Amino acid sequence: MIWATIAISGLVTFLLRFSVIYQVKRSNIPEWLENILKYVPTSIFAALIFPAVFLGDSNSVELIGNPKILAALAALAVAIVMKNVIITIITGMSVLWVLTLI
Amino acid sequence: MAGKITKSSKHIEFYLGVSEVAPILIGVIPFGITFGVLGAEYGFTAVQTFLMSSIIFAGASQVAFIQLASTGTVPLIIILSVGIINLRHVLYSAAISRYLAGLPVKWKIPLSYLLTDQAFAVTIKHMENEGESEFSHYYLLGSGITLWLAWQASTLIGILLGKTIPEELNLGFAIPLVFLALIAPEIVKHKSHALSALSAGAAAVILHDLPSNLWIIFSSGIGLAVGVMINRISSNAGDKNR
Repeated sequence: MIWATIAISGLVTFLLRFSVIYQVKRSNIPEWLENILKYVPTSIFAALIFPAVFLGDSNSVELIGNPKILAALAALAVAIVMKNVIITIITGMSVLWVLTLI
Repeated sequence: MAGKITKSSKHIEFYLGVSEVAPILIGVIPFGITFGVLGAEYGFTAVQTFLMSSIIFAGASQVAFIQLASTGTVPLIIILSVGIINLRHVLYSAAISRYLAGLPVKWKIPLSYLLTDQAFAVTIKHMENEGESEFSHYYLLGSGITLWLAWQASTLIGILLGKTIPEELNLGFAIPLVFLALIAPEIVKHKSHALSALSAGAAAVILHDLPSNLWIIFSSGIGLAVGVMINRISSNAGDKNR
């Protein structure tokens, strides 16, 4: 039973990823849809970033004494100026570690 | 030379995908190790845990899977939860589809299988910057295979060691940092992207207690709607000013 559940879960995940890729045969996506899809990375990644930054261990919002907020802001500033993923990670992690140690 | 088909441009795209996804592994590998450890803790065999990483290949939903299964949840609910958590991949599939449109199905199948959050994040950025080009799918192949190998290897390490990397290091925080680095330029450039990100992020924090990670799909839906609306309003205003 567990194997069937794993297999079907894998198949479902694959089909979700395959769904639109499979159907679009030529790159003739209508403009109105293009206008929506260009917000996909911004929306989803912001939705994944915010809880990771603002929520504490108990899954409640932590605004005070939360080192992840400053770390994220420092990383954001560096990301805007440098446009470089590695430097952004190094900045964010360093700030987080320093603040956690203090 | 533009458009000239050379063997090396495939290699270049593939290599770019590998090298640009590499920094993300700082966050992915600890996550994979954690999953490997959790598998055993929740009573799964080593083979089940390892093959879950190969078959499902979607971290957050794998963690949900083992948590639900260990509490005796019926298979249908487990499968539905995995489906809801991974629903966002339909949006990835849609956003990236135009760049893969001309490929045969034998390419579309493996590329879809490899379309994780991180592979999508770096690939869509690359494709939007470079425009439609003949070999850009090699970039997704390179980043996808790199992530796949890292995920399988780190799951295995977690299973074998049974020990996670100390939580105090917060290495998992590298993943949101990568997403931040990738969306920051658009946010600074366009008001509509900035407001889209803010509303999706705020909604995600507020809706975070919804079951089965439903917050991901709701809050990104809100972000999409806000982005499109602001874009329309500001372009209409621009027309009137003309």
